Amino acid sequence: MSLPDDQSGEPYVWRFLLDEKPASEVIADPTVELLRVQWEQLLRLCVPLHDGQPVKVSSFALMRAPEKHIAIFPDDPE
Amino acid sequence: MGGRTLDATTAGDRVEPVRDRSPGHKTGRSFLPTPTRRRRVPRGYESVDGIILTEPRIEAIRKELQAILKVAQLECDGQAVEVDGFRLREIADWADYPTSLSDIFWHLSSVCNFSCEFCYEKGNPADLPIQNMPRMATHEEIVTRLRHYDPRSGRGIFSLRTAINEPFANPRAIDYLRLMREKAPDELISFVTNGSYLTEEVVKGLGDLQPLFFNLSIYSVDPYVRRTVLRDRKGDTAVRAVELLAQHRIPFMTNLVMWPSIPFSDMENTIAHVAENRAAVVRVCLGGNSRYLPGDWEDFRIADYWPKVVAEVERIRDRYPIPILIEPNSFVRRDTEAVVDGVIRDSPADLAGIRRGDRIHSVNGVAIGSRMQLISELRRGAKNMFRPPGVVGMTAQVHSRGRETVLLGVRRDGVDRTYTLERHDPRSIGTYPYGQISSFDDFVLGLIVTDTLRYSSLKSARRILEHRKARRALVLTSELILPILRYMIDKTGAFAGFDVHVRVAENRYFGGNINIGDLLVVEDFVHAIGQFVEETGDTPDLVLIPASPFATSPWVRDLTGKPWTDIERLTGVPVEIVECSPLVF
Repeated sequence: MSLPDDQSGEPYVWRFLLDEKPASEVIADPTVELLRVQWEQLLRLCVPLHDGQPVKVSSFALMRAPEKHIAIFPDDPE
Repeated sequence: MGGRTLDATTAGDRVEPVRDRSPGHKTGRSFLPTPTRRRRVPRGYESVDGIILTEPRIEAIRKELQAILKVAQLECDGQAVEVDGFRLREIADWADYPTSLSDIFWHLSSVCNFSCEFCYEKGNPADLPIQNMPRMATHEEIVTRLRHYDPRSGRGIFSLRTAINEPFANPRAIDYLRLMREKAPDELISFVTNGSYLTEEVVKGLGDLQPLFFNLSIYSVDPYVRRTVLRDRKGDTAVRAVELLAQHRIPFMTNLVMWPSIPFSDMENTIAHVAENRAAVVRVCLGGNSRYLPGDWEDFRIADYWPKVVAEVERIRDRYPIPILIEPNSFVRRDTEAVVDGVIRDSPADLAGIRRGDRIHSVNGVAIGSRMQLISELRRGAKNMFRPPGVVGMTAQVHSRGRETVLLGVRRDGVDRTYTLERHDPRSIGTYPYGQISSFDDFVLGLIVTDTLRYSSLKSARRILEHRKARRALVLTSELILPILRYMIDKTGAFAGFDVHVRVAENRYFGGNINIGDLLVVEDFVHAIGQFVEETGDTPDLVLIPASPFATSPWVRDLTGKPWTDIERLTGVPVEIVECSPLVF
């Protein structure tokens, strides 16, 4: 059996379904949840630095509501 | 947040505007790239300019972090923390980039001790994403790159795209080459050097580190030219290096750049010097300038100058027993014929009497119809190897030294002859440089054959036209490639039955007299499409563009970091990319 010519047909496309209500959703306010999820995913890929040194991060606050602290990883022990 | 931002363009304290002294800058034409400030970063951080083409995922992370920090303050234990950068959490997860020892060696320095009048890096547009700050790799960087490099898969840490450099400006270059040899004893390491650090001690060190093959950019043997055009302050070290390399039997090729301030007599003297010392090949590069190159080059017309250089090369080439190539070769070879461009001295091809201009019509009984088919047959079994940026030509993998007999059918003056050649012929193996390079796939039998377009690219283009049911298509190419493309289309009738228009996309981004297809960027293609629509009053239903201008990036991005798919987004015209490799010559 030979492989078909690479131009002869449409390439296979990997498709992934979005959850209507993501299981990881932990915050009711969707904007805040958006930011939390972004932090969560980014911090799995990279380490924040200041002056070249790693910075420990556990939560964030919106600039417009600095009094409210939102945990990035809700499963973390207190 | 009171801390600094993540924006590398403003992160440092030392931000300098770029002075644009080009003629084009004065005209204020709309296609000019927006002048940007030269990017400076604090010590310990990388410039993102170096990874936009090679690892755009890092740039995506950076931009997302920057955006999110505008609306959210990071904290630790409820206290605000400042953030001014980031590092990758697990570098091993990112060691999947196509690389090689040559590529790792490239990172040793982005410092050059010359300041050549024609240096194209000096003519880069200000917004070209390239790490162009002088940078010396730390010991930790090189060791980390080597630790994560897998010679079997050819994968490792992503490259930083830096300006052309002088690797031996790094005082530990030989030490790092030794480390590389430990990592992969048989892997060919190739690089470009101006030779000014190749003292007897360094050359002796290199002799123990083969297989090596490098491009010695000597440019000139004239002390005045070296001092005034190259700004070489290191005396005659580079000129003397040629002799030392021959003494230590280290194979190399040589580059000359022909430029209005370099006399033809110097070109011949330089060729004589490297031929006497048995450089494998000499390449005469036809100089050109972008609109940003410092100096007044408005009167530099390559249409006048290049033919004079070519005529001079033709006048002198038979005086020297060395293959002399012109770059870009597409300026002089506008066909695809399987004609020999040169023969390495004392190689099996040389001993058999094969000469430049001979036409090869068969290899081991297989009929040869084109130059690229000839190259494929000669290198049958060879793996396409990653070529590090700037190391142009003749750096493919080292082949095992088994018995390899090749039957060549050769036509000269209308007469056919057959030659039986042994790649590792004992009479050739004992000679320099063939003995050192006989096992490199780019030098099979000592035949030099320059590359060109493949007919398979035309077949791919036709298949796309058929698949997309294109009614009226536009094919974009470069000024240099247009004659070859027309030759191939006429010869094959590849687009018969289709309404295909072939046009040149002008190098507007770099400007000046640049005419190289591999330097075309998204905005050049967008402009060419717009111009075609304006001229003809009709929109094509498909545009075909070559893949080679996007080949620098594994993410198929142009030299400015834009993906080719932006062309379709910006023009609204369907665009397909046609596979073709960058031309080495």
